[in-house]
Amino acid sequence: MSDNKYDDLEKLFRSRLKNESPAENQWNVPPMGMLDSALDQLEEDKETKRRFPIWWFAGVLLFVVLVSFYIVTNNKIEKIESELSQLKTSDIEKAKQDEKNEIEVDKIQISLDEENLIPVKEVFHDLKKKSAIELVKTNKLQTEAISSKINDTRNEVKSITSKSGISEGETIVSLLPTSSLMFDGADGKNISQSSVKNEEINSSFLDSKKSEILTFSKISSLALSSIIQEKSLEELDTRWLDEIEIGSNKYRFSYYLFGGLNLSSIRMTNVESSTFSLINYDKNYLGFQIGIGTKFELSQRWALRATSSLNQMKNESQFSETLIYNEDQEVVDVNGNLFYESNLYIESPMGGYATSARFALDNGQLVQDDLMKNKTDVSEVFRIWNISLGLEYTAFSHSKFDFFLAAGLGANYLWRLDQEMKTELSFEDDMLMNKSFESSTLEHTKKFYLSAFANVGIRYQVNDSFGVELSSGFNRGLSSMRYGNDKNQPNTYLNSVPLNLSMNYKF
Amino acid sequence: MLRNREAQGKLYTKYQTAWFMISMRYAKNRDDALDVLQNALIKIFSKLDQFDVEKGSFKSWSSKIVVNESLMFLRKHSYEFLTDDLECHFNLQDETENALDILSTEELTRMIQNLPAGYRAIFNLYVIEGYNHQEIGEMLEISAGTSKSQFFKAKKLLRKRLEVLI
Repeated sequence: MSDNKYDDLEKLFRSRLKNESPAENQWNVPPMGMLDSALDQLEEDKETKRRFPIWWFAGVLLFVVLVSFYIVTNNKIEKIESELSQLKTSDIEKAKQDEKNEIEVDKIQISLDEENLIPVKEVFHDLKKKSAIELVKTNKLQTEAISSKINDTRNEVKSITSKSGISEGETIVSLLPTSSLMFDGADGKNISQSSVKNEEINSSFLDSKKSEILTFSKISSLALSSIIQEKSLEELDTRWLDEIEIGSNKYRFSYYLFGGLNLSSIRMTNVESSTFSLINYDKNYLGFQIGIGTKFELSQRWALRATSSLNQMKNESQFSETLIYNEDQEVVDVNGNLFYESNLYIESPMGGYATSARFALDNGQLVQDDLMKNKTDVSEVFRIWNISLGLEYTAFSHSKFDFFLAAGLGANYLWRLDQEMKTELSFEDDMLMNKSFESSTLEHTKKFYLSAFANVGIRYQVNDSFGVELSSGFNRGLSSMRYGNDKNQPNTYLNSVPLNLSMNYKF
Repeated sequence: MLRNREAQGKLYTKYQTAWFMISMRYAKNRDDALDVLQNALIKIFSKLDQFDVEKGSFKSWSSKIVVNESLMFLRKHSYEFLTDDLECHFNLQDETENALDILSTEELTRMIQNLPAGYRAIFNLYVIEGYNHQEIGEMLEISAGTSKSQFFKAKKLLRKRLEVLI
């Protein structure tokens, strides 16, 4: 580049400073150890970079473990199913043989006992919840328990019969019709009875007890187990199971709305820098969140959940620093008024603000190198949009209650809704001026960050379509909202403990 | 590829003064300059693989890193480059220019250090690094006019201080 564009003053500075000058009294030589310090820092940075993928790895691993567990569990069921198809003879037949000597197992005396009545609908509901299919599979394999179950059933029937005082002849119903009765009668009007060979059974007792039969007793489920044990898959009329399966398929998708409180904590790192003026900030805050979600039932216990939610938070932080008055930063406006232009750079937990504020002064009020104090308060309102994907596991169910665990990963997008900055400058305890303004710049905020969550919850199924759910857990920020986990820079991680109430609708 | 400390040490010994003088010119004081230099060294040694000998000398490549690091430091710690773009007219007094001859490089560097951060950055970029005001405007995200007016203000301040010194 030609030097013609420079005037003499510029040329002189350029000629003296452009080229490297020899060390003069060491003023232009960095101290010993500078290189080692930088290289050590470089090594630490590399170590941090090496460590960061561990979080990713941990998240991926968690996901893989959960999916694998689901697959393994599913395979186990398939294996059981496969074994079931070969269970026509062996133990089941043996169990049946053993029982035949004592009693005809396909004919059991049953009766209706008012004390044991359970609404048919509820029985149906329970069966659906436990999955009748699963009941079949599980019970079929438990061959050792078959005999005792049949005995229990038999004893219970005898006991009830005895208590009710109904004569034996009136109450003999085959077991299979019992199950048929239970399901066919669910609408409360039509009761059809069929025998093992699909023959109609005429029972004056059943006819007279139609309304009560609708609320068939717990004997139904016991008897049902027994029937299943005693019959091979080929023999078993499983049409009712198909109906239940169809019913289950209908409810595989559910949608839900949720809302609740969010107790969050901010964790900042690398704030020790001597130039850092942040003296205090809200480490914990209470926010709220609302969202929508969808759930896809993978099996009786596993479900895939996707949610989208909005969280809002407000954070306040305080800054304080000592400034040296610099006459070069004096500004005189067109009207001759004197101002001091203070350039501020503050590192709030959520981002950096570079801004400048002017403070009016009297001529001669301050001179070069006077010490001033600057105090700045910043209030910021942020909104975070979260999209999460995770797996839910229903640990156990009781009546209409389900207790579940859920875990997964989330992506978050953060934006600022509102910000207010109030700054004041003082000199020897005299306040020079205070000023409130909004700074438009927000720097060094990544906006995108990742999180992981783990929740526990309880769900109450009000009816077939609606359910209410209460859940809580822990959300942990995996990546910094600022500077991308740069170890040299202040970083902010957001953790939270949400408490949500949701309403589910299945269709 | 220069990976070991011995090789890095040789590079550092050769260029440390040049790098440090750049950071000194942009920083307000020696401590800030050391911070800048440390960050610059980390960048230089971590990006050493990206240095292409066919695109220029190592000194030029590494110096640009130090300049960029200095500007980042200024932006972060003290100064927003956007300031009033008021018309400024100054009368240059040529007689002060010869006075520079009797000042040491250290004194000249300190004079630049004492400029407000924005003036200092623009003066360095224009006079020492050789960028034009359009380029400086793009680098600092200000208009070329602002760069020009701040540059003149910087020169006015330098002249004022030279008058005091001499």
